[in-house]
Amino acid sequence: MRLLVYVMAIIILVVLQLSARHADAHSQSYAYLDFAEDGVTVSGRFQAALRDLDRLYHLDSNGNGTITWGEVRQREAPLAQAALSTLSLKTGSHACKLSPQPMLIDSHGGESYLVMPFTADCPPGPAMRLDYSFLAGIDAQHRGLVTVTGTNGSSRNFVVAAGQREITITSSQSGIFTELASFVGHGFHHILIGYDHILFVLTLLIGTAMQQRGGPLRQTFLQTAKVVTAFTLSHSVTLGLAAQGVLMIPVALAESLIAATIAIAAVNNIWPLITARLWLMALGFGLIHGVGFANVLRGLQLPQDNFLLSLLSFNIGVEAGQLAVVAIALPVIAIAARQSLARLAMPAANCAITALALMWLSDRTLGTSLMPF
Amino acid sequence: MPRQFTWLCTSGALTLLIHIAAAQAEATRPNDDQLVLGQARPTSTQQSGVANLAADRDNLELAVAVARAAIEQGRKAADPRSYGEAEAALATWWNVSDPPQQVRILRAVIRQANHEFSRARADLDAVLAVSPRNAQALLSRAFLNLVTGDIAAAKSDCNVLPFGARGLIRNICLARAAALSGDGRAAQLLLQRALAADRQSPPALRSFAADVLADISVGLGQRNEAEQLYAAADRTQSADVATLGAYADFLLDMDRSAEALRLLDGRGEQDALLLRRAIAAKRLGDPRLESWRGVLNERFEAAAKAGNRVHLREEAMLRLDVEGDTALALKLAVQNWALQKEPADARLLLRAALSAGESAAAQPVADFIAATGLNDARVTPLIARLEQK
Repeated sequence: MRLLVYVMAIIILVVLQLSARHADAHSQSYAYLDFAEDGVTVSGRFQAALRDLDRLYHLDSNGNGTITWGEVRQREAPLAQAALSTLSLKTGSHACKLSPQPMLIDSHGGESYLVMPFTADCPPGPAMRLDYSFLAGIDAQHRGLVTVTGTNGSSRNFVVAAGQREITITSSQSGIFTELASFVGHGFHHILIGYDHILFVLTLLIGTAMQQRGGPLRQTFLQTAKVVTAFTLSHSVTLGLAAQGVLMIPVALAESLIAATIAIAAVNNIWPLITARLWLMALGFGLIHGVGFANVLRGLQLPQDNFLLSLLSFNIGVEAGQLAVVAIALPVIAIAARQSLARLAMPAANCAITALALMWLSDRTLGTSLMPF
Repeated sequence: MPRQFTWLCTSGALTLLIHIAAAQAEATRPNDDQLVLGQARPTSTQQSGVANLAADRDNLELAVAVARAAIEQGRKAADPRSYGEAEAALATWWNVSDPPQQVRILRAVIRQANHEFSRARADLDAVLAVSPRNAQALLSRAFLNLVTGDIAAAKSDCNVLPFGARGLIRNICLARAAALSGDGRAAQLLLQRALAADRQSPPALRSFAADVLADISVGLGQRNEAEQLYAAADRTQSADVATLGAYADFLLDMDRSAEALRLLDGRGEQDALLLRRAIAAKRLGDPRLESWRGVLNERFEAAAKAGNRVHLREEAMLRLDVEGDTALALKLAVQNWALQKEPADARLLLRAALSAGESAAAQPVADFIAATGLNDARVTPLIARLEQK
């Protein structure tokens, strides 16, 4: 009996021992994760071996032993969703939302890989954290090879493994100038995606252009400069005060008031109820918009040691973005205002703007969802 | 100034475009739904075990069964990913300082497969400290010692092995140890007799014995005997990667590259096989060389990034015999020698040192031979050349 146990034990072990000799046959499991940060957005691609994806999601839908592109393509969206959900990216305590792009195929080390490009909508922050769990619990020897390309083109490599899946990718933008440059970028970006601020500026442009349509074009530009400068001055003041915590206004209230300013400005363009002096209105309403910018800035977690410089950089970015909008829109609006049709078209535009602003106002005060953004 | 600005913008945009093009050069989106991307993994009973284990991580019996099955599957398919699966199955105990005995033995097997030899040995020592006659642990440690060149320790482990199964595995162990300490003849005789007397061992064990016997014959310089054994192995069994690699090395050493290439044709894409194909193709001027060396370089690059040292021997051979980078080959061969000390490793370091013209780098091999008495036809002539320099 004792002998039999030994024989069994040895047979089992010989099998294991023989297998250990197979260590010569290596093709361990690797995945590649590449990120590029351009200071504002993060884009990247996750490349996982077809065999590893098959281990997780059983890609051979028709069970014939081979995996075809058609089998992958038909499940593309849920597949990308599932694979990308194993990459948890965070800045601060905010999770980035990964949006998959169309899949590609490639090969690495003689194996087929699925390439899953994505864009990551990350709240900006000083450091990005990656929690990697692809194949966790399935293959303990799997490794993720991470490459992060920074704004300056330099790249850094990380290896993520089962034991230490979480890595912190400190921003490559070391040095104060690159950091400040990134705040300029954020400011620029946020005015461009801040449709409500843009709409307010456009409303002011329309009002000015209509008032000055009888005079020389030069006068239109001068008046616009006056209005835009007033807006800039006042929103900079409240942006600074709110960012420093001196001025505390709830986000929801500020957002609602911003929507209201747009509606009022548009109506005022048709019937000058409040004032015909638009620079005065820009100055007053700019105070409210500044609070809105400060709310965006709060999400950026300004560094304490360079607080004022970072604030200034952000503001410069906002003004640059605003100037870009004005530079493109002003010539169009100024010339359009001088056409005979403008007598009808401009009030129509103001009505449309009022309607949009009221829908925003409704969304922001009553919780409706009339607007997509 | 505007002109310069235009130039700057244009060149910047061009650089960006080239960059994007280069990055995207390989990745494509196929048009054809019928395009086969790869083979699916065969469905196995293993999967239900893995699923059950996921819900019951602390179930020792189930975890050990899943890990064993994964290692077994890895052996059949020569798939290194299976060791990662076995490790994952044992996750609950993997980092525990004193895990249950069965886990500890499996952990040693997996660590040995990863070339973490000292940690594997520590596990086996711990098991044997508690149960000195544990056959699995003894045999594992014996073969570990044979790989790392601790021949005396291997012999004493082989000797304590029980006589079960008419002692074929014990005799394989003893024969290998004897052959590595200069007693090739005695080793050959012992193993030939043991094989002839054996009636009941499973085929896998018998073919393992034949592989060891073939290797001993190569070491003795008996090319005909070795070739017969290798050819027989190639005919009768679906020869495993290790045997095919050894057979290919045997052919390559005799400058029979065309035969080596034929032998390996369609036999698998494992590093060891691709490497030998690449070496043969390089010597023959075969156009497939480029794709094979490309794949190998890509794999070794990934492994280097991941800090994986399993491939040191193969990578050194690639640098030496395919890329012709003797300095790097020598560096890798030295690192490999610190881990593994089989005749193939000794031969590799000697060849790398000779090619690089740095005889001193091979001194550890000479010292090893002096200490163990190794006398192997693959190594001894190179030692002689080294001493001439």
